[in-house]
Amino acid sequence: MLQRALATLLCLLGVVAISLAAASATVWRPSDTLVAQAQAADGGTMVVTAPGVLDLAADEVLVEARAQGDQAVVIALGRTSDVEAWVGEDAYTLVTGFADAEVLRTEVVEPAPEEAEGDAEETAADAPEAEDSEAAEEDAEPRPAPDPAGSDLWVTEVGGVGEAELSWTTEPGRWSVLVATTGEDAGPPSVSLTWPQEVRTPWLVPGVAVGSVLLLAGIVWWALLLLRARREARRPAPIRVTSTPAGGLPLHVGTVTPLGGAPTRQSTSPQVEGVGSGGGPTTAAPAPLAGAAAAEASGPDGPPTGPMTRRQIRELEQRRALEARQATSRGRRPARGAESAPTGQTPAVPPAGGPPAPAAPPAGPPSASDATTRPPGDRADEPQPAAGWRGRLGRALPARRSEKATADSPGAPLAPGRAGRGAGGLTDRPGDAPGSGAAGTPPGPAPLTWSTRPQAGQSASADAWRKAWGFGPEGGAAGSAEDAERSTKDPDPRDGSSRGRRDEDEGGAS
Amino acid sequence: MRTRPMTVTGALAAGLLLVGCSTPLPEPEPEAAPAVPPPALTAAQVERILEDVSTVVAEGDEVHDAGLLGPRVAGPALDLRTAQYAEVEAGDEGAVTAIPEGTQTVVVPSTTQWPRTVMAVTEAPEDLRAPLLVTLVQDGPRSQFELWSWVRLFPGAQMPPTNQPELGSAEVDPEALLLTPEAVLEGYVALLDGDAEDEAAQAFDEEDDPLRAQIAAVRAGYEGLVVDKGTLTETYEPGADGVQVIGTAEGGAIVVGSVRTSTTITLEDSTVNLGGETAALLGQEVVAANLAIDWTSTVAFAVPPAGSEEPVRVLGAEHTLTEVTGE
Repeated sequence: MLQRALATLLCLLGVVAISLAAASATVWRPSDTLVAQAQAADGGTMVVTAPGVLDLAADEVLVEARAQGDQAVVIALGRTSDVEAWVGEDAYTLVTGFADAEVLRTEVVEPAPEEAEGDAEETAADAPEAEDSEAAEEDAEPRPAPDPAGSDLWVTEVGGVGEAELSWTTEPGRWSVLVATTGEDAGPPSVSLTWPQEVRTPWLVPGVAVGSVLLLAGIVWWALLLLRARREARRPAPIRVTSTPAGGLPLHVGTVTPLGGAPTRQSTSPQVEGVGSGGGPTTAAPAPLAGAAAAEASGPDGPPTGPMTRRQIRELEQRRALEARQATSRGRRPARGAESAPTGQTPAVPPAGGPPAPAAPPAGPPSASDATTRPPGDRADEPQPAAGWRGRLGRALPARRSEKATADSPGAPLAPGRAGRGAGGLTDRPGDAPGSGAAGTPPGPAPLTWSTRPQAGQSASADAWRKAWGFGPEGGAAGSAEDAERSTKDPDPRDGSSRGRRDEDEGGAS
Repeated sequence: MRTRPMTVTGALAAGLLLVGCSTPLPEPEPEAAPAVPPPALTAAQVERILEDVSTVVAEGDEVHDAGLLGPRVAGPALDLRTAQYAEVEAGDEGAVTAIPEGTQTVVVPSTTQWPRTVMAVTEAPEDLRAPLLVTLVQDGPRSQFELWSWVRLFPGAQMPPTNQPELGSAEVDPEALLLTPEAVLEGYVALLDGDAEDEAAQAFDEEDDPLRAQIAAVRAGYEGLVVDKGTLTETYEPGADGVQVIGTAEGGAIVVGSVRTSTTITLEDSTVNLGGETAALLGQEVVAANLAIDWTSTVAFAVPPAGSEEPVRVLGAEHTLTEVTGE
């Protein structure tokens, strides 16, 4: 168990690793661009990038500048020394790198006029003068913002109203961009730098590889575990065979108890009988079997102390019917009985009603009609009473028949209700048969079909096995007995016990 | 059995943790400021500037209005152009020197300082005369390059080799030249004055250059006119706009300066009949008393590096009558 858990865990880890690797290249795939922004300091109109900022994240950069409103904005690119020289003594915002992934780090570069410093030193002695200089500065303020547009210094420049953008590919050297708003009332511009990013998915390949290995290892592990389990299961097989019956019995019992399941399975045997349409041996077979089964079942199930199950009821009915039929068939038609007995499912069995020989044929038609599919099965069953054959065929046949059975003869073969066809046939046919056979349309030829069928379809084989088994005309009793005996084994499984169990038994026996 | 899955799990967990971590943000890694400054202008910039200059000059030439030249013409060039416009206005149609737009050679300085000087040799003009050597000067970072001068290269004059514009011409150390730029101009003035003994003048080629020959010829002509009717004095002085220098590939320099030639004639009871551009500029042909004539010459020199055995050569010049006053 621990190994299985670990193997499962390995599989899970593999799947998780693959998923994460895939996600790293899809959902979590980094952006194709790196965009960072900067804003000029209040009152400033110029933003300058420090050398190395333009090619900070890639060799190509897109510089976008925005002014407030419809102010003119200029992006100029030149050598850093030229830009700095051009800006000169004016205050500007210097972009020095990344503050975070989306914001550029900036610093404000204030002019450091020597005069002002000199004034400051003198302030103590000459306060008014300092004020004058300040006043002078204020007076000078309204001058228009410096306009870099058109300077010979710039390698490239772009101007626009409100916004402008400039793309540039790195060249050797130190380069800077100057973004400036111009005009009388120029406000601080904002700058965004966009670099294309070479998106790498470093976890995709290793992740998928590792995940696949883990997954594969887990699967292989599981496979080995399963293989070993099967091998172990095969080795102690004899022990199981012995135990199977033990287990099988309760299983068999179990099938009896579930009322819902047993009847449907049972229908196979009724169906067979139905097909046989009162086939003496067929019905005869189940009857004893049913009896046996009932006896068997009664053991574990407990005798019919409690309310009888449907199966028990049916078995009871079958038994009664069988007894009645046996009585008639033995008395009247030993040959018939003998013939049909081995067949088991053959319609050859005279109807339960014990109609006379001619009456029996009527049962044929239904069987014949059904026989279109069935004959092979019948034939197979007939000459081969061997349990092995039965068992093998039984698997397929009952299943096929069960479908018809459910439709044709849901009830016990001899149950009054189920007689719809078989019984009807039986009762009607007798009427028809005497009626010169030409009376009804399809029913009319019924006796013929019935008679021909065994002759044409089965006569050879029937004769063959009859001879082979030494069934004489008088063998009816013996045959039926034998058949009954055999059917105690046969129908039993068919009769609602699990086929699987029978198979197991056979398998174990073989 | 148990430890292996554990280690695998551990490795996987570590891997997942790493997935969550993003790569650190890059820091600027600018190239170090080069010891030798890069060329001040790219070829594209030079082309753009020359085009702009030509456009402005063309606009001035169109209407003979020197006022339009302001943004792109300065110094001696502006003086010359103004005089030429005046001459054209006075009737001398061919007074204006055509400045071809295309260039054969461009010399760009490698510097981060101002003023900056760029020189260029133009293509041969359509009139089949010699090409011009134009000088452009940018006074400061927020100034534009302006046409400062042009000289017509003398026939057969050999331009000293200069660096490609992509490489740039090294900044010139005046002391590393055979003569400092100012000394060159003073020496040339001394030559014009006939002061062959001047120390600077001795550095020059002994052979007369076309400008000296022309000035001497004009002076001789006026002396012939005046003879003994009055007095004629002619003075030479370096132009007020100074000199422009750019380095050559051999460590020397090309120096461009201007020389002002002033001729003063004082007549005694006689008149002089003037002709040509002088009369046109003066507005009258007969002068009875005093006559003052000013010429402005732009001159280009090839100055070898200090210690060189080579003389200072005059590459070319433009000599234009700029002012005439008389009574």
